[in-house]
Amino acid sequence: MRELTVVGRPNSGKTMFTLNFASYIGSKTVDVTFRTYDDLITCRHFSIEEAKRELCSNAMHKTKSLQSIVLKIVLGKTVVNFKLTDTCGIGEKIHQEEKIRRGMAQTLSLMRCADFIFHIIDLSYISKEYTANPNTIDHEIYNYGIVRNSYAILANKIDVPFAKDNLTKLSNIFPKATIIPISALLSQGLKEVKTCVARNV
Amino acid sequence: MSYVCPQDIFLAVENGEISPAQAFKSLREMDNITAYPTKVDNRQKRIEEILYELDHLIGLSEVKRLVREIYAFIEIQRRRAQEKLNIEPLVLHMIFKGNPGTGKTTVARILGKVLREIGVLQRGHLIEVERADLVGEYIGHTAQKTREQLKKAYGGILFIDEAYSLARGGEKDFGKESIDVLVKAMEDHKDELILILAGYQKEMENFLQTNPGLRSRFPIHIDFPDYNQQELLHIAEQLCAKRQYTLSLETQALLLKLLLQQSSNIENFGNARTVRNIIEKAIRQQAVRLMAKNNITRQELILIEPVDLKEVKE
Ligand SMILES: Nc1nc2c(ncn2[C@@H]2O[C@H](COP(=O)(O)OP(=O)(O)O)[C@@H](O)[C@H]2O)c(=O)[nH]1
Ligand SMILES: [Mg+2]
Repeated sequence: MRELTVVGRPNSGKTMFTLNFASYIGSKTVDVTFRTYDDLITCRHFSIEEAKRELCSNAMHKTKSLQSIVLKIVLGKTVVNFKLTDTCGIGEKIHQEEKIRRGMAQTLSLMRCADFIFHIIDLSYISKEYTANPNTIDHEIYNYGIVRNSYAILANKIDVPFAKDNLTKLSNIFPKATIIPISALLSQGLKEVKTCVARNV
Repeated sequence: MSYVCPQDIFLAVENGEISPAQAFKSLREMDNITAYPTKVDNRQKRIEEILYELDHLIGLSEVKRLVREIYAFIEIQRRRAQEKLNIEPLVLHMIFKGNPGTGKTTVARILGKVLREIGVLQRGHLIEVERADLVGEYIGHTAQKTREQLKKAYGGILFIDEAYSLARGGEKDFGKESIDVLVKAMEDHKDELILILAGYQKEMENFLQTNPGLRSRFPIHIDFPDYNQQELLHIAEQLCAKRQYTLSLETQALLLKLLLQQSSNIENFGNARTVRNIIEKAIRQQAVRLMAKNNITRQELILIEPVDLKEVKE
């Protein structure tokens, strides 16, 4: 089974995307497998709504470990299973909390093994400073992902004001990547993501 | 700072020595060195997956470090060879010392896989034997039996558990004959066999002391310490989680107590196998307990209660 992973800055909407995408392709409930850095595995069953309530948050670093769900996608007459793994957000700096640093290390480690990387970027985050800085974590993820060929940027929060302008900026900053604009919150743009997933499972 | 393998980079992130952004830079540097055909990438990916498996064994930090060291050593020798620099001979026969159930076989198996991926061993499989598989009953029988096992192991690892039993019974014992055959095979099949001798710490040391010729042929020694209570509990939780069961807090406490009790009569306390047996028995006990009930909730199906451990106490 192929493993697709969702990475990005904290609060970019990774968890929201993971859950709403699961819902979009037909899951009413999800079995989330949590894997912490020391390989403690726990599994919990949620409805999508419950999962969003419990796992998404405005607070930074709600997700501290790997959270995987197994999903089905229908391709013509066949059904293919794949694993979608939500990860701990990564930033530029060394985080003071050990748990989060471990979560970040897990994210990096998974990025090396995953079959496909979805890199979520929050469009509301694109500021002047951001555009001027060639060393953001997003650049690092992009540079890392682009050589692997199984990589796409999901430009999230397209529903917020100015998002459309920022989308143009984003495609100038990351010219070589496939960029799919989405709203994880409102489940917009997920059809394109599904097409992308279908090609990569 | 330069790193030998990606795991070192991840560890540095964990320890707060470098930021994720720096980690990406180091990872890219590392990939550039090996950035020729994609085949290399696949190979490296597979090695990482295997090392990931190793990293997630509980405890064994010393063992993990050593395996990584061996891996780094081989890789670097290879790169030196590419640059036509002198290389150290690669002798990878090993001694594993520790009580039963401390992870010796598991680690040997993982090592085999790593060595296959880096091309040191053709197959990297593990043939696990003990005295009875090697030693025969009449003259000539032993050599034949030992050779048979060796033949199966070529391209991989021959793992001899309680190896000192080969030296039991003194000069006239056939065990001696087996050792001779093994030593000869180590020379004649240098490039297609790794021998691991395993067993209790004390016995292994005695064995090597009385066979100094052997000691020099086994340059790598790895100690497998007993698990401590925390690690054993952790193992129990992992075993349960894999099967989608959970231990209640009371059950955890009782489990520890049971392990402690057993440790007074069995000499090795830190035994993962004991934990596995207890958990497997408890799962069956839970099933029996639940069958007697009318309505069973999801939660009850998952939870292992203290009563489920009752039967385990012997
Ligand atoms: N407006 C808007 N908000 C979003 C969108 N996606 C996520 N959010 C919000 O962003 C915050 C962080 O989301 P979360 O999924 O927990 O981010 P994560 O840290 O990347 O997993 C939450 O408050 C979400 O409600 C989106 O598409 N549009
Ligand atoms: Mg999250």
